[in-house]
Amino acid sequence: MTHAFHLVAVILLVTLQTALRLHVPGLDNFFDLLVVYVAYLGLFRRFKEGAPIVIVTGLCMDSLSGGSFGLFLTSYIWFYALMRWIVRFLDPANRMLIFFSPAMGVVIENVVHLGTAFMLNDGFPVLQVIRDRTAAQLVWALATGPVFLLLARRIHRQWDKWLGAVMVRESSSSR
Amino acid sequence: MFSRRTVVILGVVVLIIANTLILSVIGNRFPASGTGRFAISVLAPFQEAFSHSVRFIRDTWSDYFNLVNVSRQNALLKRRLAESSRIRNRLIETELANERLRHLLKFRQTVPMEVVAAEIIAKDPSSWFKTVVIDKGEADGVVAGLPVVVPEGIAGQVVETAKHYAKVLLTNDPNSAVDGLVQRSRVRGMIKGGTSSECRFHYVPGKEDVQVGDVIISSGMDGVYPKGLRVGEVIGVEKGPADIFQDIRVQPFVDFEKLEEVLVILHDGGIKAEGGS
Repeated sequence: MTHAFHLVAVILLVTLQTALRLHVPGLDNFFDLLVVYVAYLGLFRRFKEGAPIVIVTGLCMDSLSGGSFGLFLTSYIWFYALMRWIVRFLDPANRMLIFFSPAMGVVIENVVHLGTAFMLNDGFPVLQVIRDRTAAQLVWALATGPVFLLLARRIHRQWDKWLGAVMVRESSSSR
Repeated sequence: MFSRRTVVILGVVVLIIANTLILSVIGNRFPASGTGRFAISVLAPFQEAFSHSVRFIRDTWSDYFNLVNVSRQNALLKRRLAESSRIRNRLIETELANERLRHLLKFRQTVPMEVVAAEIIAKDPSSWFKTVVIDKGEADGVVAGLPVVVPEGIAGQVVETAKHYAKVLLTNDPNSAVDGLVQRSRVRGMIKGGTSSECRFHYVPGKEDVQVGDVIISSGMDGVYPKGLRVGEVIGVEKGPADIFQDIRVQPFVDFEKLEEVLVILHDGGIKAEGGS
């Protein structure tokens, strides 16, 4: 059931990321919301739970994007690995970690995207475009990323509580 | 011989190098993957439902806002006025949509090939690439490689399809390329997208005559786009004394930020559609 929750969350975030940006032009330089969810999976969920979701998320985003296949998958896997490594030394609920982790994800994602474009000589953007767009994404990530991260954690906790209560009710009524 | 830390660092470096090589191979040799079809089939219905919901809420809100705003002033007369305003706003919106669709239909009638109209339901999740998802797919005759146009000019090319949806690569995407020529001087080149709103007209030798204001059209020689479709206008020409090619900036005629409906041209190839020219 928890995997089902993750899949629903991923579908919702992918839909927001693609369909909402179509109708709100100002969100063109908004950062990738899925990065926040990958950070949440890396910081607060077990490896067996988070790793498959990260891979599925990366495959979905690569399928919908016009870039080379594997860009989003690569970004998410490396960012997830970084989060899993960091929690070996820091408390996942560390405020600085929660504040900066979405921005770290944005940086990793942009490095992968731009690095691949540079390698393949695929219309590498001018430096001014890189600077402006990356700066806008980082500002959004720093301003709203921690909020989304904590919101994801809270919603999932409520879901786990509700699911636990339902299962307790069902098991007591079956006795 | 080596400490654990050194081994870990070397392992990470090897992983990064291997990852880089894999990405470069995949990017060059496998530009499209079959998993995209499955993902589009699964995700596109949610995108379509969301887009329709946003449009419905936006229309309902404007009706509601007018109704509440007017009913404050005078009960009976303002209620009639609010009703008239609501109908009028709906008619204006219908008229605007009508005008847009008539413009599209008029253009469609001028296109000698069979076309199918499609609505855009989602855009690329990354801000570095420019693709959109449309609500027509293989069931409507749409296959990969078909050109996508609007009355203003070429919008892009279908790159991946599912049964009822398709992904379109827009002409301002870095991966897009359109074989074009200058309408006035018939100079040929390649229109390639970038990450800004402009495109570049590549491979034009320095001695060729290209001026600011020239209109670029499709040449039909790439086998994708029919000949004669408008692409953009030259907004900048730079010729270095030692450069082989000119640096030509092109502003596309299509406003990609405002695309809502497009036409997909259903044919086997641009060259065939133009009678083999």
